[in-house]
Amino acid sequence: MEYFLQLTLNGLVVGGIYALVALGFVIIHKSSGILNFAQGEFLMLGAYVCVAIMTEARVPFAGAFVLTLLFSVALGLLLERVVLRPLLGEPIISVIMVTLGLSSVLKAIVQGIWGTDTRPFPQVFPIGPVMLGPLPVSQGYLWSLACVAVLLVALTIFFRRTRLGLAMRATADSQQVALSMGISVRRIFALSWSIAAVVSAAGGMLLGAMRGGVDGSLAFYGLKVMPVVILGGLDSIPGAIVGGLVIGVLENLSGGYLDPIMGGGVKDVAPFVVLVLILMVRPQGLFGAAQARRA
Amino acid sequence: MSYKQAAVLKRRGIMARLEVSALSLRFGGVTALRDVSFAVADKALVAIIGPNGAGKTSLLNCISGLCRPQSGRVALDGEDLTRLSPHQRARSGLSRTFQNLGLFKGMTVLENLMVGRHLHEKTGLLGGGLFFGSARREEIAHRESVVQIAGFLEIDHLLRKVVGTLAYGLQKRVELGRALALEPRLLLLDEPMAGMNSGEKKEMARFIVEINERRGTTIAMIEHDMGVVMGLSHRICVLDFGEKIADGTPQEVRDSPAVQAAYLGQPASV
Repeated sequence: MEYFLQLTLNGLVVGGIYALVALGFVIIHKSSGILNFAQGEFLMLGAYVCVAIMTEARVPFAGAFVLTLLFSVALGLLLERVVLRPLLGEPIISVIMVTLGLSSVLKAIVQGIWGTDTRPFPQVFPIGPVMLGPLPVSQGYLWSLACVAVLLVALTIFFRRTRLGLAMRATADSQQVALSMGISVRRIFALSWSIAAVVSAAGGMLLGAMRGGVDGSLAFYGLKVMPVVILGGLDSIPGAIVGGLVIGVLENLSGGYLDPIMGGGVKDVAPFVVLVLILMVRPQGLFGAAQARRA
Repeated sequence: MSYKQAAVLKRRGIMARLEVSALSLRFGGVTALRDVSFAVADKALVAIIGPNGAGKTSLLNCISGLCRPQSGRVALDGEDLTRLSPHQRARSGLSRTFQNLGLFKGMTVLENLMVGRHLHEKTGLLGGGLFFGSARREEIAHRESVVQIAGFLEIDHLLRKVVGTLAYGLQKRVELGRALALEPRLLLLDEPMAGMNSGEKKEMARFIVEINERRGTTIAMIEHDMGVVMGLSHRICVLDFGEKIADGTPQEVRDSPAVQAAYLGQPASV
């Protein structure tokens, strides 16, 4: 039982980060129909930038965290202006291919500046575990879970209660109608890229802090987003959150129980098995709207 | 007001609210609008009519900016809008409804109406995110204006309802309310009564007249129901195959041989 709880908790921690990154993915897809394959690179870049700020500028983690988020806002705005706006009106598939190229470019930039070796992430969370009932839990995990929860709640409030959140939902619903209401759809796109960069960077920093180091493998978390959003529904924000947590827990449980029997590797495969199953049974995902098209 | 009259008024320094001049729109080889000019006077209620495929919605799209005409000019109170994008035109004072409803169906009535207030909201990203001080006061003011519009359209008891669950006639009313929330200088209505039963039509007609007379809003509307058009509008602009064939008072339009031919066919030549 303790083993099960331990695995579930670890799953929730990682799943929370999946949820954040998936949220970024869903926001871009909802507002513009684009699948952003550079999401994992946003995450990796965020982690590297945070390490750089902490080690070079000697800023404490809290400060570096906020600075990295500001950097991500700027990155999102810049990418929208330089890479995406010239593509306005081009077929969606072209834009999706461009995000694939963008992921290679971002990876190359990171490697060009910081090299390919693992860079240590300064110790930010206290080392000793806390006892949660009978369960010893690493403090870093709890902090990460708390950060994720705060960000998710903040974003939910943003969408539900603010005028820009309302404008984003309106744009996701119909760009033509949003335009007729005086909403600048281009500004909304820029905002959605910024939010996507911010949530990914937050996820990257928390992962880096928990793992104690950053390297190129962080970008693989972008791939993990696929099963999450397919499970939750490509255009559903609650779906991204639930999907993230479910995939995180599932991955850890299957890894914990099946890896010893199968000889390892189940943890990495399980989410994609779920992805295939979901696509066969409920292609629109748990929370996604079913697509009906006129013939 | 005809285009010529508008030109005369312009020379005297009085401008029409809306002035459309020599508008031409083509989709590939199909000409949707050919050299269409017309004007809407301040506080007027003008109807745009014509058989199916005459180019009425295309004309409305050119005015609101969703279609880019190949040539011609659109001006609101003398301000040239031709090069502006739809959201800039909305900011200049244009507001519209859609033929097949352009509502955000998953949102509540209140949220739909609040989207209409978007361009009047001034607080920035952070202020809009945190309900403090002036941002809070502004939010309350917007909410009051939206509730007032809902009261006027008799949908104030539905504010918390999700729009997609409402009856069609009520949805049309919500869309009208959202267009009003922009506080437009010119309200464009694309078939406000399409698909309604006679009771709903009567109510909608009453709202349109009140918006025009009590609130003083200038309206240009596309409508098919001739009874409604003849009864409500001050002037009528008739399109056929992308060209304007008549423009005048309801009586003038009714008596126009060109309009009769377009609607009823040419009299057989003996």
